[in-house]
Amino acid sequence: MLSYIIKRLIYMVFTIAFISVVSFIVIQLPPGDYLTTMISQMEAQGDVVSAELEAALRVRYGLDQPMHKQYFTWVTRILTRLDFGYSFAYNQPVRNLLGDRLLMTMAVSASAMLFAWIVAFPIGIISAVKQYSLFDYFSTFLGFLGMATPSFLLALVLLWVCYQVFGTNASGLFSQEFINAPWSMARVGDMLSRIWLPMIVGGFQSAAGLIRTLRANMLDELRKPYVTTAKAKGLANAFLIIKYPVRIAINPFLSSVAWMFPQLISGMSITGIVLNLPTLGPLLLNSLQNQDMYLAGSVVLILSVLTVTGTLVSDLLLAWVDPRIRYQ
Amino acid sequence: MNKDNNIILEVRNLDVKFFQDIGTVNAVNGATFQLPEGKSIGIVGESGCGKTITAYSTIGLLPPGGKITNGEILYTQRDGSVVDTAQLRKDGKEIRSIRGRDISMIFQEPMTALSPVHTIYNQLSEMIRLHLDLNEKEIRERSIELLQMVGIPAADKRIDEYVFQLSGGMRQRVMIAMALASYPRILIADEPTTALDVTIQAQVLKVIKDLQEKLSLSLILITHDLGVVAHMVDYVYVMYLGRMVESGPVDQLLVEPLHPYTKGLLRSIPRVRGERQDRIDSIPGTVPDAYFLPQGCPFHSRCNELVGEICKKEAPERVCVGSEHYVSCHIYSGSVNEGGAIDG
Amino acid sequence: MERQMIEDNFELEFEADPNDAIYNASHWKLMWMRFRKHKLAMIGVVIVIFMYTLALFAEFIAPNDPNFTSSQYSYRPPQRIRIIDSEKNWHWPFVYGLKQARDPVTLRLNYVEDTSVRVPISLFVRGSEYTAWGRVEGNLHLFGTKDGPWFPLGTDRLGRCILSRIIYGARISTTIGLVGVLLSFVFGLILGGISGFYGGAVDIVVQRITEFLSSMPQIPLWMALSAALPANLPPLQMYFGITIILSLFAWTGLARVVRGKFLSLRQEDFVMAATLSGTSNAKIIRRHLIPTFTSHIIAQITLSIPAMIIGETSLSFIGVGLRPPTISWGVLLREAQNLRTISQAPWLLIPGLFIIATVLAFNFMGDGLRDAADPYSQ
Repeated sequence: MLSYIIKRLIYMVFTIAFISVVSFIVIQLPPGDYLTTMISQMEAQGDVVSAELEAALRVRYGLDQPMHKQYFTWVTRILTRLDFGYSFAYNQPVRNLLGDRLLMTMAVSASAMLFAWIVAFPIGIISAVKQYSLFDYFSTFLGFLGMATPSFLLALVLLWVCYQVFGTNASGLFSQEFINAPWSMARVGDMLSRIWLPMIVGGFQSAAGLIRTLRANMLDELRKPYVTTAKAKGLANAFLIIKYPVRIAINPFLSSVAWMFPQLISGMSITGIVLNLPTLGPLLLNSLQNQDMYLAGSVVLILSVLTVTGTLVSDLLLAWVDPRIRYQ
Repeated sequence: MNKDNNIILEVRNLDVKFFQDIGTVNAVNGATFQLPEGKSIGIVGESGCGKTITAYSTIGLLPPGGKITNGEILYTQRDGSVVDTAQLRKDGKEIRSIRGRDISMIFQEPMTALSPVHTIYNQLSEMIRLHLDLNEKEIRERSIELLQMVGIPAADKRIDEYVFQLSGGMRQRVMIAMALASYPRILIADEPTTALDVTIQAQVLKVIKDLQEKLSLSLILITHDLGVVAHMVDYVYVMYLGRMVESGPVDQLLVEPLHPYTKGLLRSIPRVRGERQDRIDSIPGTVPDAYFLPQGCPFHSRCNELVGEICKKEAPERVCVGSEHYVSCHIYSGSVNEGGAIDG
Repeated sequence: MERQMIEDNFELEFEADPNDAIYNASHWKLMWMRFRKHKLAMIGVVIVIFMYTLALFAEFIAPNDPNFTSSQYSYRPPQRIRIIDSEKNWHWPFVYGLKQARDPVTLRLNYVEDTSVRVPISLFVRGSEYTAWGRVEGNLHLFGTKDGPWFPLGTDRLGRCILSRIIYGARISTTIGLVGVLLSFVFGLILGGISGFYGGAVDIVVQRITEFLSSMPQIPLWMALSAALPANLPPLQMYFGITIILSLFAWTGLARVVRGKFLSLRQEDFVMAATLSGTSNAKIIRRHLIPTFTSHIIAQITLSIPAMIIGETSLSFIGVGLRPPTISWGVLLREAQNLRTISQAPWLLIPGLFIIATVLAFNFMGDGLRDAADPYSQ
């Protein structure tokens, strides 16, 4: 088990190293660099930047260095000082912009995941046990619909329905009076009263996928001989189904959570944009539109690290519940 | 069969059908057998002849789609009353109190028949907890005792391991221990050694045989292997296309088989010792489709001793051809017809 | 001599036939039989054919010019097709004209049906001019109205016909999936094939890359990459740019399936037999491996298309994918970006129904193909 964890951790370090390269490429993608943006901003304000000054600045920011050196400087700054660079659009260090939004992204993603689990678990099991029942058809339909509906569309439709039914705008994570308020119990309460919409929107697609996986796994497991053995012992059906096939079908269920996690985080960025949430998604879009590349690269980096970590956690969870992996 | 034996389980004219989209499979067609208390019987036949389905239906374990359409399964309970398990509600309380408690089963593949993610103790103790009134300490002791009984070394350590950590033979021993956990009266062993190595087979069979005698269990051994039957049981039923074609005491039936099918089965066993065979015979043709049962004698399409047109038209009656030796074949139709006595 | 050669050729052909054509034909036939039984898959086929017909004959099917703007038609609601008029008389299908009226409560300008104006719908109408497929000029439309404007699914802010725009949008939205999947199919087939066939170190490297790519959050990366495409790129280049970006991440699923198939097939006896008899590796792949899993690949391809469609739509919706004047379903939905617009003109969400229908159809088809690809399953 320990060697398994160590192996996974080493993989993760490599993956994150890769991710940092990709994020750095994102930063470098648009024509021009850090300095060109800064200069054009200064010129927009009426300052004249001479060629000498530009060259001097270039040396100062290390932009005259070859690409790989620049990369290492960037990475070292992040690792040693949590310095993600500077956002021109917001005129402050990137780090200041990330904190709260990272927290919100995690809170919303976690609640969406939870929602997906809670919904998918009973539905998947029941529709497998009652295969070809009305309930099964209904859940299959729901599963298909969930897979076919882009999250932004679902968000739009739900927003509209909410508006039609309750007459309120359900977007955003906080009511007007709490948007810029400091954290308090009331603010948390306000957030909890609004989080259900992003939770449903973000979790629906994952739930649909999970229902399909769980149902298929359960159908496989229900036909396995150990179920007959358990029946031959004289156990009651409901008990043995939960103790054996459900217990075993949970393993691929958990591993599907691992590969669904990237999907969830990734879908969340669009949901965040449509629902106007204070998460990383809208920040990313904003920064991309403004060519605020240090910010964009950092968001990509952080979202990827978040994804990889989530995947790792669910893999470890899987190893923990499945002795076949644990004893390898 | 001798009437003064106490019959603990009797199956009469059992029909089991599987209803599927593409048609109905006639899996069992009038299977009939008797299990005397404390004795062992064998049900022998090729795969697909319905022997496993017959055994499963005695405790209501038919796979989805399967249905008993006719016949009785009479089980004599501990208090002497007789219950027809075919009539009990599927997976209901009554049948569940018989499963495992009175009639236990050993399955073919010990690896897949045991859960891979639960410890041996977990699966074994569950059976004891369900049927016996013991406290946790006693359950643990009983579990270890059971594993020792089936010959698992270091049972007190092994008991907390998982099935995949054991060898095939050990797994099947665990299976046996589990089946015997709550002092059942009948043990059904469904091809218990088919999935095992040849060297292990004999050991596992010996464990079953010894325990059957020691605990005076009534044993139903289901197998395709007449060689296994010879060592294990008192009385043999030969099954073909869902019904019994011949039955008799094991020494008689194996020495002097009467039904052409039984003869064919015996000829197809390769012999290691004894006189050298020039070749191993096989029964010509294949088992007919269970979707469309043949008219007349079920075996006529593969029989090399056809009597005449009657074989293709009329199903042969079951006739007694010797002490407790019965056969359903037109060759022996001249003998005393005892079919009525059985059906009645 | 010549005759002999012809005979030789004939024999060669004859020999090649039983190995390939007949065997495969029976495989495809079996597959087709099973596929036809899959009801949802057949529904999927019908929808997919419908969508591609829209895309192919957009100019002819769309009743109006999708780019024709008019401020006086802004945000017109869909007009219901009727056969009974307000006096309970039966007519050939028609729509009522619309007139603007001020809502007495909210004082907002609304459209209401003008029952005095009856606009009959006709088939094969001469209407707006178009140039189909870049060469065929015409003005014939499948259906439309002669006297008075008709916007079956309403109009957007600029007074453009939503239905016509959806039909033109099908062109981009349904093909971007196909092109993207073909691209990722090439990636996936090559990498998955190499990985599965050679195994060992090659396999490990490719596996790691695949794993790495599939553990990344796609949409943020898509966003970052497509935002890097210059905004002033001509539509066609933009289209291919977005397609390439989408397929950069989509090939991993295909690669995984291909690799799995190769690995399991490599163990099969007939490959072993071919290897032992000295057939070259390339020939083994071509003659034995590819035919046996082509069907699985087709199923997997079909199942990959929806993700592409959703990807394009999402990117265009948030404004980093395709941009106007290109018409795609995502671009259309961009019109419905805020709650105020939607509550004023909910019909702007209708393109979403087309997205859902198309994605569902491909999923159904893919499921059916996957089940059918394995004749011995169940």
